[in-house]
Amino acid sequence: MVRARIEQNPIVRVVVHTSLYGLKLVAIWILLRGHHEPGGGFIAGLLIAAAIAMQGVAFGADAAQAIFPIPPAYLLGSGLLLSFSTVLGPALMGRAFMEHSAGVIGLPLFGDVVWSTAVLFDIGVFLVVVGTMKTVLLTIASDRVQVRPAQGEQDTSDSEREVS
Amino acid sequence: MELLAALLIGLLLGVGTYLLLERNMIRIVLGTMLITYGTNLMLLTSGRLKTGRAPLLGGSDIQTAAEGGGGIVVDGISYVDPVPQALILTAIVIGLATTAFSFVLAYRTVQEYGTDDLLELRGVEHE
Amino acid sequence: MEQALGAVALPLVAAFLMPVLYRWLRWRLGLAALAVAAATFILVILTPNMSLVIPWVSQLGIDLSIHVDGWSRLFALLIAGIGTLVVLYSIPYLGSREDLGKFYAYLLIFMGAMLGVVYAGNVMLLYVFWELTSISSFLLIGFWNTRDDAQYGALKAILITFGGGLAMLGGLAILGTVGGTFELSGLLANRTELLAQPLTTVALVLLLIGAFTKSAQFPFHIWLPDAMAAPTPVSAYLHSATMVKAGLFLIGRLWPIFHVHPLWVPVVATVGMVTMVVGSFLAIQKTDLKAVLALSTVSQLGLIMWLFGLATPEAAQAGTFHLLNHSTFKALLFMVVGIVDHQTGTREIPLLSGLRRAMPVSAALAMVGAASMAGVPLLNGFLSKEMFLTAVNNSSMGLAGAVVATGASLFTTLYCLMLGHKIWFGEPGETPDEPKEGSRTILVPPLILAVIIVAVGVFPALAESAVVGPAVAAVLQAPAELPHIALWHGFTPALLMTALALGGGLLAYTALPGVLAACRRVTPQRYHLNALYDFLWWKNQAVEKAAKWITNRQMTGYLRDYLVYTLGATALLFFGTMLVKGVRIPALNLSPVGPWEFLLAAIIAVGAVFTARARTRLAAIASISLVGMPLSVLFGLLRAPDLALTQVVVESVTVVLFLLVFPHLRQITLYPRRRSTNVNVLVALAVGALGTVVTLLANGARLFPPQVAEWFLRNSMELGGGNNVVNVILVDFRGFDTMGEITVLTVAGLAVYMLIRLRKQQAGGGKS
Repeated sequence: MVRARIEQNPIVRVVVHTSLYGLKLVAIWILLRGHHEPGGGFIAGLLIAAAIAMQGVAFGADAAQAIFPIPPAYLLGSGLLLSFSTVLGPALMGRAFMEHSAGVIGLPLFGDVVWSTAVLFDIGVFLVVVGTMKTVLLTIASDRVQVRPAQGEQDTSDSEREVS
Repeated sequence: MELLAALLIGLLLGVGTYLLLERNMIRIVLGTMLITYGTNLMLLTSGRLKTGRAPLLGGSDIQTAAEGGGGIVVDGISYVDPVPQALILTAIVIGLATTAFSFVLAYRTVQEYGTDDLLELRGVEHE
Repeated sequence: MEQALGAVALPLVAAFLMPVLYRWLRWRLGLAALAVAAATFILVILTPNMSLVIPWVSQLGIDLSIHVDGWSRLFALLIAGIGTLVVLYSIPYLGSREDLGKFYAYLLIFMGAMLGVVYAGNVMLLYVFWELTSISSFLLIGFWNTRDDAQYGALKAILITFGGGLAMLGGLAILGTVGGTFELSGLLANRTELLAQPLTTVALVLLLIGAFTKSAQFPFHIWLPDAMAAPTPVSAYLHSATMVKAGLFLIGRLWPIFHVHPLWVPVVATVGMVTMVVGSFLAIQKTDLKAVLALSTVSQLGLIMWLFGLATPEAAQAGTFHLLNHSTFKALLFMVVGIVDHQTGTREIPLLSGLRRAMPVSAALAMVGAASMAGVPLLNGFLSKEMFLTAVNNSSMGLAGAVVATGASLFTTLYCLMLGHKIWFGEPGETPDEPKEGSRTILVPPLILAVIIVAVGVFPALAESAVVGPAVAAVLQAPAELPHIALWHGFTPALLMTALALGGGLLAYTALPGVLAACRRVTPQRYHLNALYDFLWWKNQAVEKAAKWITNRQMTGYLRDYLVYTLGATALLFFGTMLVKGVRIPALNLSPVGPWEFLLAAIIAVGAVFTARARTRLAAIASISLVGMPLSVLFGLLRAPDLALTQVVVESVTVVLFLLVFPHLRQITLYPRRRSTNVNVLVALAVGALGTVVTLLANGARLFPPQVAEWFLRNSMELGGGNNVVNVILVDFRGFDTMGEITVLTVAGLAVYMLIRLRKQQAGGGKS
């Protein structure tokens, strides 16, 4: 099997494993800096998706599952909830619908940091993107491959095999 | 640059449309992808190109030197239009999701109906 | 004002309770319906003349406005009064075998809708109720919905009346637009300005089509004989006394506005005249009693239409009076024919004779009704018939009109004799059931009508002052010196014409078989209007076949065809407009092109072409990446770092996606195209050109106003707290869009999940 050879290939293993940590770190960094410099929830989410995809191609769906070890449904739900609450929150507190708060806060190590509730919204976006892409990639990866029948022919269950 | 972009857009949309009119489902999905690229580029071009800095305030290090002109001038610095960029950013991500969906739809159709020929997949005549 | 609203609302609300009440009341449901009808009748009597506007869709000038005057009162009394009698009559007629809940529901819907038509003060409201009466008529004709003739008649009626209703809607819309209001009172107020507009003529023609279809005027009369498939109470109520008079109601409403229009007299009077002649001529040839009555209704409606078409106050008075009288004697005759049908089991004239011995009361009632219709003195029909002949004689049609009127009246006398004499006298014939007199309850409603016929015939002044006078005043919208309706006018030309019609009719009756044979010879048997209808909608279904043919040509179910239509049409419209308007591409405001950009554009172009030529899945991935990856770099060069980053990541994920999906897909098969390759290429070229041209046009026109962008750039830090303006737009300024977008993403993800997992679960369920 091709898959087995890939998994046993030490170069692939090392490269993928180390780069995964890097990817995750970069994703978080991009997510948080997105408000001021290129980046943001969409890109960060897609980076995680790329990590999942990479892991999935190299080691299979089960390994990919472990990348961001939260069930996709929770990711989607919490992401939507977080975004919606930052939208509705101000409205409930008597301010304009979707009005974000921002300010500057002095932190001991980082110095003055500009904060904004918009970042929370962005985190929600990030979670939704990760959730969606994880759902898509994992469901496709775990789907049984059926050897395609010729036209008009019935496919039989013993011609199926697992892709991963 | 706009002229080059316009020709490129025409090519992408034209080839995309050509693929969209095919009978094979994979080619149709490929066609939609090309059309997505073309449309994104079109949006960006309609806001004019390279008229100033990237829309990042506060002197970031990624920005390129200001060249050209006719951009949106704020505090003496000319920026390119940020609105199309925001539109395209969402379009790219949605495009990915729809591509994924179309692919899955395509292969599920093949599994269920045993063909990826749209002509063969036509419905019955209207009564 | 409560009475008017109540009179419309009560039957409509009660209608919805009928099917529910039917479960408890069973055959007694008729009594409940009777109570509703009687209460409505009392409300109608109590309704004063009034105008009232309740805002509804005021922006469009459509309000719930009520307008009650003498004209609507005459109709309302007929609707509620005859409605009450018909409900009473239907209780013994229908017995307990039928689905009474359905029947009374439809009947009461009709009553409420028809009252809505006559009380409406806004023409759009009138239209709504007008169509509601058509719907209830459809349901009632098709009441015995398993019978072929009921299906045929119901479909025919609704096709013709709805077609006319549609024309009328167009007419009303034009009238309202030209006149500036949909309120009747407003239209009446500026009728002089209205008539000066050329569009008013179009409106008039459309409105007349509506009125003619509803009132079964030639050539739309063909639906009424087939509507006789309905139960007889329905025929008596809708198809002789009330609904078919809705067209005349509209004519009366339009009279003050349009009677001076040059088209009014030639069109309305001619159509009325032709209808009267054709109706009476066909009526005598029928052998089914209800068919005779239906065609005589057509003929009588034509008579009234003719009168209103003459556009003189005298004729309007005659028409109004005859309208009232016709409702009474025709409803009576329908009821008696219903009793005959009920008691003998047949309506065929050749089978029926000598019934007077078994059914003396019915015979007497039928004779009163038929005599009134023929115009025998001392009955109300005599009075209005004589007024009709006088009006025609005095009109611009003069002698020719008088001759036609007398001739048609002669035929009228003939079919009246068939209804009032032929079936009752002579030797009793063989009928399916042994004839016997109807029960007392079934005889009460026609008896009441007979009393009214005689009372009005002897004391016309009462009817005139109470009902006819105010109605005529409302139609004329101006005081007019009109002679009072009187029993004796002296020896007038009209009296001579009446005598001629009656005498000639009697004479012809003695030689009936010969007359009928002569008539049949001149009646076309193969090429007539019913044959045309059958060809179009029934037997040959030409219209349906044509529609099917067109639909199947258009809606092929093949994606390519739809895209060719829409994209091709878009391109044609776009370039066509450019050509017609002489649009040119403005002077371009170009930015410099660097060598890198050239290179990237070249790679993208090659990638696009390769994608189109890819024959294997792997080639497809490679070439689509050849488009996407350089594009992301290009984004970066074009000062869009966020886009560049996103596009790069999206490209890599797409490749993985491809790899995952691949095992499930077939290789790219190139199916042979169907003849239309050139069209495909042409459309593709057009769309490509469209993209290029639009981009260049946008370059000169600024698609995104710079003020918006400037505002975003200025306030990004202050209001959004971020330096990355694109991101601030996404999460803050236009965050609502993003919220929608992540919802779409979620749905797409779930859709993929469903597409795959749902089938797995089904398969698993099937195995276990």
